[in-house]
Amino acid sequence: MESRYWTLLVLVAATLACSASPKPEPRSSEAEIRAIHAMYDAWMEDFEAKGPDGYAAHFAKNGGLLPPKQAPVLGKERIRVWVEDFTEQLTLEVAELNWDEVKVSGDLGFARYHGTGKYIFKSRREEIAFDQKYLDVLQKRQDASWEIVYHSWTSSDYDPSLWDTQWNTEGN
Amino acid sequence: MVPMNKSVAVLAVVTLVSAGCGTACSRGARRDAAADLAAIDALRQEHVAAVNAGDLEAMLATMTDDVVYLPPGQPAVLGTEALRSAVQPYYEQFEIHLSMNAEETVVAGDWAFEWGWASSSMRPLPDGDTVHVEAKYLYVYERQPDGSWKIARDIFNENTPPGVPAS
Repeated sequence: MESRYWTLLVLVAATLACSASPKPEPRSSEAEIRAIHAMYDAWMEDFEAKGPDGYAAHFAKNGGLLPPKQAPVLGKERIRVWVEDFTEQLTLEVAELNWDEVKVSGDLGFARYHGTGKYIFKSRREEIAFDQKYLDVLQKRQDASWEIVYHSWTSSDYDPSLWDTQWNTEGN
Repeated sequence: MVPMNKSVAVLAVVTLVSAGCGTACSRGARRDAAADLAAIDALRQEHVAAVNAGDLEAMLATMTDDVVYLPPGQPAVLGTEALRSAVQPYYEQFEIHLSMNAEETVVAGDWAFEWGWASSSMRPLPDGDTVHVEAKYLYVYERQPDGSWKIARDIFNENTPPGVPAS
């Protein structure tokens, strides 16, 4: 009886210990960085193909945008709505995106990059060029893919940017 | 033999539970995480105090040698020397008052991530009109070889669109 008790205790403990989803095999930093780059590629493709839903899908549930000259946009659904508003009025054309660094520590990491392109107002075909730099905090999902927790950016030049326009003052 | 079996069983239970929890559940990890958060909090306060004292060198001492500073309206500033050149005019020409409130800080090994709110006032010296800015920031902290923390990446931007006064 006593032996059964201890066997049961061990089994319960083993079950508790293993009840969480099995973690994928650890990957090297290089493999994690490749996975992060793959996430960014998918982010751009999904934004192109699925619009605001595709854009927001790559954020953590409690993730956030930290855009210039606006309050933070916190939560995946608010991000989707923000992008919906953005895409109703504007088209984003990225001309160039350059990676500066990607660092990983356990299940968290960050990415820094910069890029140029233009925002095009749909209603009047006005274009505003941008030259921006970005810093994102990333986290690994249970399935070992990566998602964006925070996405922040700033203009790299002194010229007035989209964030100084009426879209920003009226749209948000 | 029974006591021995009990000991083995208890050891097995402890081992399995420990394995299931991983380091995040251990008391040591929690204590270290609390210590890291306290150290980061102290570093942020040190950074703010240095800015408010107009002490450029003390401010630079809170940042890594290879710091990347990503302010609005200019390209990335890479490293201590470039940062000193970039911000020195502000320290010489303005009286600055900065306050910062962290919204979320997460430690991951030798890196930590934080976003929060920053409020700054800049008064041109000797007697100009004060400009007030409300902003948000995202910091990446890096653990140093001696175990201390420093600011390694710094991006911030304003919270309000043009024409809307900061509250």
